[in-house]
Amino acid sequence: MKYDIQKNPAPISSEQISKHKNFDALFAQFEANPQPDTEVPDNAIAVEKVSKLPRWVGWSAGLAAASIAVFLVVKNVMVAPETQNIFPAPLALQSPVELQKPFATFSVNNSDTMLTSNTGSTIKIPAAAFVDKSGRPVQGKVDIQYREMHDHVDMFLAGLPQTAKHKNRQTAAAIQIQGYQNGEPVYVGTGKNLEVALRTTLPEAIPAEKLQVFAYDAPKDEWNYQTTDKVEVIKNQPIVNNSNPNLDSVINNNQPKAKTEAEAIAEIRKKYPQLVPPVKQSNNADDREVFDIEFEPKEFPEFASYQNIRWIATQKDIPYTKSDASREWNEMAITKNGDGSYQLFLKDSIGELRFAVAPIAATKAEAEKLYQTQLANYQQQQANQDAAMAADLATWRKYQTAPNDNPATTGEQIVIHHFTIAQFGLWACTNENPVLETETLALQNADNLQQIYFAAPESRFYQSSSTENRVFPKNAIIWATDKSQNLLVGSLQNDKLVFNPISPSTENELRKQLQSKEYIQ
Amino acid sequence: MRPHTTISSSMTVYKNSLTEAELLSEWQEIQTAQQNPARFRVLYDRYYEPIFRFILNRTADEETSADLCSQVFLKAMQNLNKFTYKGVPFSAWLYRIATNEITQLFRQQNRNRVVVLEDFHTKELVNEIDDKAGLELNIQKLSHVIQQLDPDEVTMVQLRYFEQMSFKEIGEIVNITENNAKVKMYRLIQKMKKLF
Repeated sequence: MKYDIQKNPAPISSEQISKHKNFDALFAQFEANPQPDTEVPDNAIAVEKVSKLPRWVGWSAGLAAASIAVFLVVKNVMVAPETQNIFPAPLALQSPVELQKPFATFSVNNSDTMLTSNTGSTIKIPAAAFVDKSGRPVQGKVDIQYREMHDHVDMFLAGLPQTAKHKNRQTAAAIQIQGYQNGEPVYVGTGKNLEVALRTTLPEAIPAEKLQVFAYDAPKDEWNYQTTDKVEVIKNQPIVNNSNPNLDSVINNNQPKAKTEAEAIAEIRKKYPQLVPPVKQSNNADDREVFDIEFEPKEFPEFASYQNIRWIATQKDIPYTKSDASREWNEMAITKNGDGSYQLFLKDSIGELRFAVAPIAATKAEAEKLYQTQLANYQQQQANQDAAMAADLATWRKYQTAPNDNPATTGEQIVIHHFTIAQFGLWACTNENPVLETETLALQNADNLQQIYFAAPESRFYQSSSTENRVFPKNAIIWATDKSQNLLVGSLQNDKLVFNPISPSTENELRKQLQSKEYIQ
Repeated sequence: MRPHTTISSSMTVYKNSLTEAELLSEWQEIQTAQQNPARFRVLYDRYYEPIFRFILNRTADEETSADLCSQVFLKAMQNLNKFTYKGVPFSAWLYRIATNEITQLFRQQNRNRVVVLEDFHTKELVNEIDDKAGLELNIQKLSHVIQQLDPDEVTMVQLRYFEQMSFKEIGEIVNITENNAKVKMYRLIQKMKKLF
C-alpha cells in the first residue's frame, strides 16, 4: 500500500483547533529568529513552454487530452524593471543654471490614455502600463512629468547630456518623461510600449533618414540606440511656439491635415479604435453541448472583462457526438463570422468538425452581471472617445480660423517623429555622425570657466565640453558657465573668444541671447 | 444532465475564490505586515484553521498538525518580504509551504502518506469518474483507485475535490500554470475512470 487511507476520521471542531493557535508565541519565535533557516518556495510561477500556435487555440477542458499539452499558455510573470531605472531620482537632469526647462504634469488613470502637448506631440499610453519598483501593477492615478527639447536652448536648460564623450550628435528633438505615484517612481511594465509622436521643426540640413532614436542610460552616461526614427513630414502646418512647454490636455491630438470639416471628421474618426459593444450572453436553458476553450482576448475584445466565457452550441443537432469527447483534437479554434456570430472548429487525424456556437457564462446571474459591467465600461469609453474627438475637431477649427500664425522658420519643415518607448527616461532623435565644418579658436581668460557649450542651430548640433576644448563648429554659438555657475556668452575679440556674463531672467531672454552670433564680427 | 464535454465541477463555486477587490485588499494587509510583522496577526487569524485542516487531512494527527502549522506560519513570516502580488489568495502560498512541510515530514519519518476520505468530499469525485453507476457512493472502490495514483496525482485530487480549490489556486500551490492544472486534472480523471 502506497497510502495510509483513513475513512471518515473523527471530526475536529474549530474550538479544538483554536486551542493550538498562539500568535504571540509565534511572533516571539519570529523575533528570535527573523531570518529563515531554510528557503520556502516563493510565489512566482514558473514560465512554461510557449505555444507555437495562436494562444486562443488554447485549451479545451472537455475536448482534448494529451495532444493539447503543447497549447499551454505562458502565465504573466512580473519582472522588476531593472533596466528601466534610467532616472534614479526625479529631475535627475539638472539645468546648468538657475533657469529650468519646466515639466508639464499629468494625472492619468491606468487606462488607455493619450497625452498631447501644445506643440501637437502625442503620447499614447496603453492600459495597465505602469508597475512599481517591484514589478507589481500600479493601481490608481499616476503623475506623468513630461518635457520636450526642440533646440540647443531647450537642451541646455534641461541639462541634456551632450559632453565630448558622446561625440558629435545632431539632435533633432528630445523628450524626457517620467512617472510617479505618491512621490515614488513608477515604471513602464514589461511588454508595454508608449507610442510617441513628437511634433517639431526639422532644419533641411538634417537628413531625416539618418535620424535614430536613442535612450539615455544615466548611470553609464551613455546614449543607447533603440530604434529607427520614423519621420513624417507635415508641410504648411502651423506649430505652436515652443517657448511654452506646457501641455494642453490629455485629449487633444495632432492636427488633421484635412482641408474641409467633413475630411477632418473622417480623419479624426480614423485615429480612434472602433469600440465594440458587449455581447449579451445566453444561458444554458436546455442541455446543449458546452465547450470550455481559451481564446486570445485581443481577438475578442467584446469579452475582455469576462472571466468564465464558455461556448454553447447554438443548435441541439450538431455534428459533435458524445463519442467525440474522447477524440484527441489537434486543433481547436473559435472564429468570428462576418455577421458577428461565432463558429467552433475542431480537427484531428480523423477529420474536422465545424458548428455554430455562442458565448455563455457559468450562471445566468453571472452572465447578467458581467454584461452590465461591460456595458457600463463600453458606454464610458464611448463617452470619453466622443469627448476626445470633439476636442480634436475644435482644435482643427481653431487652426482654420488662424492658420499659420506660428509658421516654421524658413528652411525648416514641420515633422512628427514616430517611435515607441518601453521605459521612462530621456529619449532623443539623433543623427550620430553629422559632417560639420570646424574651426579652432583661442580662448581668453578661460581659467575661471567651468564648462563650455556650443551649438550650430541650423544643423541642430549641441555639445558641452571642458575648457580645454578649442575646436568648434564653424559659426557656432558658444557660451559657458563659470565656477560660480554664472552664465557667460562668448564673442570674438581680436581673434580670441572672450566670455562676458549675461543675466537672463526668462527662457525667452536666454533664447534671444543664445541666438546671436556677435562674436563673429 | 450535465454536458459531458465539460469538466463537471467547473461549474462549482469554489470556496477559496476571492474577488479582485478582496485580493487587492488582502494584498494591502500583506504589505502592511511586510512593513510591520506584528500586523501579520490578521492573516494568521484568517488562515490558521484552513491551514490546520489542510495539514490534518494529510497527517490525521492533531498534534503533528499543530506543530507543522506553526512551522508554516513561522516560515511565512520569515519570508513574507519575498511575497509579491500575483492575483491569487495569500492562502495559496501558505498551502504551498504546508505541502512542502508535509512532504518533508513523511520523508523524514519514512511513513506512508495519509489520505483522508470523507463521504461528503468524495461524492463529487465519485460522480465525476463514474457517471454510469447511478451516482452510488463507493469509497471502497475509490480507495483502491487512489492507491494506484502517484503522489502528485493524489495531491491534485485532494486539492480539487476534497479542498474544493480553483485551478488557479492549484496551479499556484503545485507551481504550474492554471491551464496546466486543468489539463493534468482532465487526464487524471480519464485515468481514474479507467481504473474505477
